Amino acid sequence: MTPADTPCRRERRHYIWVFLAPATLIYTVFAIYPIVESLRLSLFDRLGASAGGTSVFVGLANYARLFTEPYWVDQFTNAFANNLVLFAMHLLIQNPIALALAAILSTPTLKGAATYRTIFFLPTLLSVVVVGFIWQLILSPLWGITPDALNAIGLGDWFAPWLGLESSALVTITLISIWQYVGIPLMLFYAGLLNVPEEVIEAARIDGLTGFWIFWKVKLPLILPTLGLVTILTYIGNFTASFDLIYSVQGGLAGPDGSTDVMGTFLFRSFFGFQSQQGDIHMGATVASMLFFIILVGVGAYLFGVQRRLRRHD
Amino acid sequence: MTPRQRLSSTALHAILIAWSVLALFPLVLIVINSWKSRKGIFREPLALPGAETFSAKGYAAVLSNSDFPLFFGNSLIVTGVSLFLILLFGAMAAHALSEYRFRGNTLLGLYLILGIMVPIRIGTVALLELIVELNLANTLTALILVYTAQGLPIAVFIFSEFLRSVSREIKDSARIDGLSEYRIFFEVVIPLVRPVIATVAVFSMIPIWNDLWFPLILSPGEDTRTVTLGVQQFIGQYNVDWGAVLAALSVAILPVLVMYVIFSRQLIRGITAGAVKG
Amino acid sequence: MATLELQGVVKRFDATTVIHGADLSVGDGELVVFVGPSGCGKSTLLRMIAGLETLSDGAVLIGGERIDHRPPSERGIAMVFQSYALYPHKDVRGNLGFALKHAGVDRAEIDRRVNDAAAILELDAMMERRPRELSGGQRQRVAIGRAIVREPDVFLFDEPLSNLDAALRVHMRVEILKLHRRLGATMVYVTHDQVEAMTLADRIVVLRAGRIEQIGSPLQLYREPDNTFVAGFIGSPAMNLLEVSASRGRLQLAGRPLDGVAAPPGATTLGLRPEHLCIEDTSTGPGGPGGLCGEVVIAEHLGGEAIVHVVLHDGQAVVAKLAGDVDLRPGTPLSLGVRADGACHLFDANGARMRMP
Repeated sequence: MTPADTPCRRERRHYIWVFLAPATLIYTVFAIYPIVESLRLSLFDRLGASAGGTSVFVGLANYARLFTEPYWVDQFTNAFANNLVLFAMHLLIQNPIALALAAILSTPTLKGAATYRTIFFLPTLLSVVVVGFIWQLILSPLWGITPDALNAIGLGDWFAPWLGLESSALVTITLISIWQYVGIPLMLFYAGLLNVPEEVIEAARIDGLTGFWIFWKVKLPLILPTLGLVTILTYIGNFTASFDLIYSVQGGLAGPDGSTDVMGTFLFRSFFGFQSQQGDIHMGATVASMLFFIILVGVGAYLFGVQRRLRRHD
Repeated sequence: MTPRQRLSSTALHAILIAWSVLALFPLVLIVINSWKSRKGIFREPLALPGAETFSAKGYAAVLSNSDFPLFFGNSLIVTGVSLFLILLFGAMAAHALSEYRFRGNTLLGLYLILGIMVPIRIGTVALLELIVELNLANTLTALILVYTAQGLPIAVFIFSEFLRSVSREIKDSARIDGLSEYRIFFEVVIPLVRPVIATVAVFSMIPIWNDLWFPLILSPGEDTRTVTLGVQQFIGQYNVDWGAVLAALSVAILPVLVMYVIFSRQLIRGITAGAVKG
Repeated sequence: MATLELQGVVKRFDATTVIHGADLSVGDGELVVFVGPSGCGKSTLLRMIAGLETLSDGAVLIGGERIDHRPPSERGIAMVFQSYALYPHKDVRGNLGFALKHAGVDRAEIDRRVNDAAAILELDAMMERRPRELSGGQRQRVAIGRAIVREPDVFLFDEPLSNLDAALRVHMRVEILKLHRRLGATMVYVTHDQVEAMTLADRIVVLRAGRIEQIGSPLQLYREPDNTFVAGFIGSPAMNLLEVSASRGRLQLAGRPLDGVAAPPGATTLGLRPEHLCIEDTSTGPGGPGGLCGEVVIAEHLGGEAIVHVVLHDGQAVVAKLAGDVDLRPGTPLSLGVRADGACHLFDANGARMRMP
């Protein structure tokens, strides 16, 4: 089949590289390079205030600025702390709700599971801007839906313009985010639960376990890897995707008074600037690098600490 | 069913219905009120539009005054093309990684999958510089390239996990029949990965369609706005005209809703059938 | 007493009836095998006994007590699944003791039962291993051990050997027989393999399309099948079912009269087992009915015996199991007869067995 003068099959397997090239190229240029370059930029600064100055290597000076200059430290610690609150709430509220709903949906005798699934996933599909605004309207004192509803069940005094109050804005936004994004861990848990072999569950029934116990003693241990995955995805998502909702509801300054500022909005302001704040590419890169390290620490802890113990059981 | 079973079944359904109401209520509220006059919106927000309160003025304002079709088209193009590239290039790379033995296979695989754990937004600063330098600022192309890069890792991961579990035999028999590796990829491998295409598509599509960050930073120009960005700017404009705002929101929701209802079965099947490996 | 009774058991899925009124009585310590082709309902019937499927009608009794309204764990049964269904996240000891632990049984008792089962099944060396570290045969033994530990009244086996390779299957068949002898327990065993059924069963229940076709000991089913289905199902190679016509007390096969077989009117099918056929030796006279004349199509030589496929003059195919040293090339004309110790089975147009007058 091959002419005598072509080299032996070991070399010239062009197709391998053809298959690999497009993905590797795009990924390297538009994902890896920018991250590396951002890290690099954080080690430089611009001489001269206007955009004509040359870049100069300053080592970790930008990082020092981030952690010593009050202007930066305050914003950073505020944003970081808020992010942790966000993460904790998603972890302790969103994921258990998703797990419970998934557990209920995966019981084989449930009628209408498909309909419920469709409904539960709907908010996740919506644009975050739409979601943010819908809830702004609903919670708005002007429209009056929420105050009326609370009045109807006798909790009228409870109402406050939560989104506009420093003390409650973060929690409120987080709840909105949970409302929207419960669908994703829900689907992952659901798929994981469905993967538990049918016959193992029947064996458990014969062994005397009922619905709740089957979930607790058989299904849950077997979906621990999924739990780990969901947790780490929640972690990563919280530090990055949280920007979208907060920006569209509270604006770039993440008011009121920075109480909803998270790493994402902080990063955005740092290198883009916002209203009175000047943008600074190098400080922006520095913040981005910090964000990178924060994520890396979390992922590292997951991969080496948790992942090892959650071996898969096949 | 025993009485005890019936009781627990009712309780379960109660929980599910409660959450369903919570999930749907805001949407229903918006859509109902978008068809009402200002008076109707404020006096009786929970009521359906009646003869007195019906008004389509909001929709008129939105549809005549905005570039919604443009935004929508932009989102469609960006999401559609990105998805296509992610699926195609991702499958190609996954196929090469799982099928052929070559030096650096494992390393390259790890490199590509690394991206799942590291979000692309971190490199935004340098990314913007790069885009500007390539003269791609304010183009849909910039978005497409960035989203493709963002979506490739998880596509490669899911495809290669799946392909690894498929036997070599069908490809070997095609080789014996004389097909080139390229033809084998397009005519044998692609049909094989059909079960997981939906999974990859769902995982990739949602973050792209809903994304606010990159359209805001890379292509905020009027011609290249996506629906997410467009709605955000638009709502800013119409802050006082409630009818228009509600209509705008409804218009933004509706296409997604419609597509979702049509494709929901495939969507969910894709998620649950795909390789959800820890 | 661990007797099992099925009384008029019916199962419907929506509009389709899957099991049409099954009646069965299993004695204490009996090993009964449900056998039949795919889709005949044997697994469904087993699952109804286990409590994994509800009954549409009828009753199931164990030890004289009606149990079909009870959940699986309260019926006094234990089940061995086709895929073993071991708990992947527990080791062997954990798998064996899981049910007892959940039921709150005393720790010392759990250990006693687990160790006993492990000893019987030779699992002592692998008590700390996880299922994924075990071979198929080992997993199967753990699955059986899990059932033993519950000390049930009735053991249920759902095609437990289907996932094993051929050699292992033969070995495990013997092990299950020995286990039955040792425990003396009542067992219901489901399989589609008639060889397993024949070798294991005290009695066999043959099922087809949701109906019980015949119940009897292996030898009974072999010697006296009630209809053509059972006749063709039991025995390998399958019994030859030949079209015959009967007139005035004599049989006509392939255009020739068949002597030596009394033929009641209405007989349309003659059943002859391949192992009951022999080459007609015209010199010494036929031992039994003879005169099946035809031509060899294929001869499969197995060494000790030969399976010879013959086509008769009227086109009907006959399979004969003959001694291994025959040399029969395709095309050789051949005349077959029934051995002296062989049997002829007659069936009517409905496939039911006819008594020889």
